[in-house]
Amino acid sequence: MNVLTYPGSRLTRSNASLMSGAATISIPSALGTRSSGTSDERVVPQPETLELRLFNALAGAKIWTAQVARHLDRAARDRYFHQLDVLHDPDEWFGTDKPVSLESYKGFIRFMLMLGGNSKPALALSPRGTLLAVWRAQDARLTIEFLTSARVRWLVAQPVGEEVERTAGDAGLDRLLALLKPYSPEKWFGST
Amino acid sequence: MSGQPYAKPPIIEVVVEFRFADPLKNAVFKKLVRRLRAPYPSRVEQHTRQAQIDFQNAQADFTDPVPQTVLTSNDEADRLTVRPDMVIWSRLAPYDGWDAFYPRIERDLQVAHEAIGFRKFSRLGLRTINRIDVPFDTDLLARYEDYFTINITAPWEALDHYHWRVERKDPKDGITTIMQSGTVQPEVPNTAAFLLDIDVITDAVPNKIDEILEKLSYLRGIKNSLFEAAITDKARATFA
Repeated sequence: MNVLTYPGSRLTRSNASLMSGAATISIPSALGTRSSGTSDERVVPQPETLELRLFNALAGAKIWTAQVARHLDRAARDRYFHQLDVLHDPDEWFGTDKPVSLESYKGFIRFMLMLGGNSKPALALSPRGTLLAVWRAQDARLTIEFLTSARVRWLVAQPVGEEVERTAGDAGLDRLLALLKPYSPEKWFGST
Repeated sequence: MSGQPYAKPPIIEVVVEFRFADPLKNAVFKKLVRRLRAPYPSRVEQHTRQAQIDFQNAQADFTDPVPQTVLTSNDEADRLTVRPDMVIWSRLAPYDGWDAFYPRIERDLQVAHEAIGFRKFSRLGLRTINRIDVPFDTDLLARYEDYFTINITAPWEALDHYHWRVERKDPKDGITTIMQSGTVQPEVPNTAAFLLDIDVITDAVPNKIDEILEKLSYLRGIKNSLFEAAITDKARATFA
């Protein structure tokens, strides 16, 4: 029986080509490099202008999305891309801000895959390049900052009587839905 | 030409490579890029270098930089890479099937033909990279052997990672096929992820555009047969 143990989560690189020097080199792919044992071909890094930095971050996020595209609703994918494009408008950019971190974007997409459904959060970008997603239901607001692909910071703000009560946390992405349960998250996400 | 048989195909990238028998001179290369770029809103000019490492003598040789232009759609899914030695079309997921991808190749080839005349090709290749996400069972094992017909039989009950690659040149038609599979970073919660990567390559490329496109269609038939032979009905059910 051949099975994979959980979590089994490390990217492996082709190593069979190291053992077969005469192997044919694969056709170049946008998702990887071409290599055959002792020979390797890479793009020569260019000096980064602001436009190139923003383009590379956006392109990296969009190219990565191909990995999970078949699990994403097409309209949702297009909406996320549009939101990312708007957040990276070079004319509105502050020089010291960082473009979206791929790891943060992965965390956001993983969370949306976990949710399923069709909720439509607003997106914002921190100066550090982490994505923030905001859900509103009447006066109750949930903000999640995707620190990495696996870690989040969250803030619930909701009115209780005349006051606004705020609760915040820092957690692993896998635990987030359980932690939000006392706040009736279906008002933001719909049924998950 | 048939359409896409699956509603949610596992293809994360399909790539078609045309390699020139003789690399284009710089002026011709630039002319080709100028003529091909109109339908692609995004353009990135790059250079690539190859490195050859001689471990025995502790030396590394780098080739001169080779220019390449990557033309893409706004969503980065439709891509055309133009180099002096090859032209590469690719489509990232979501993949809408051959009937959506192929007309772009046909169109760009026609434009290239009008721009720089017919060029002899030394290699024609088709590659598809498929990603299959296998859910973990309640016992936290991902039973990938239920999804793939080609498997490594290892002496352990469970593995952390695997990778295999097989290559064959058909003695009858001279077509080389490479199949690879391995574990990759899981991105979908509660799943393990596996690649099934299929290259089909020929070095015997006809000298007429319509015959070249027929050959490409032939390569696609081989690729499809290999893919279907490598997966189980349980895998197919997840593409519906």
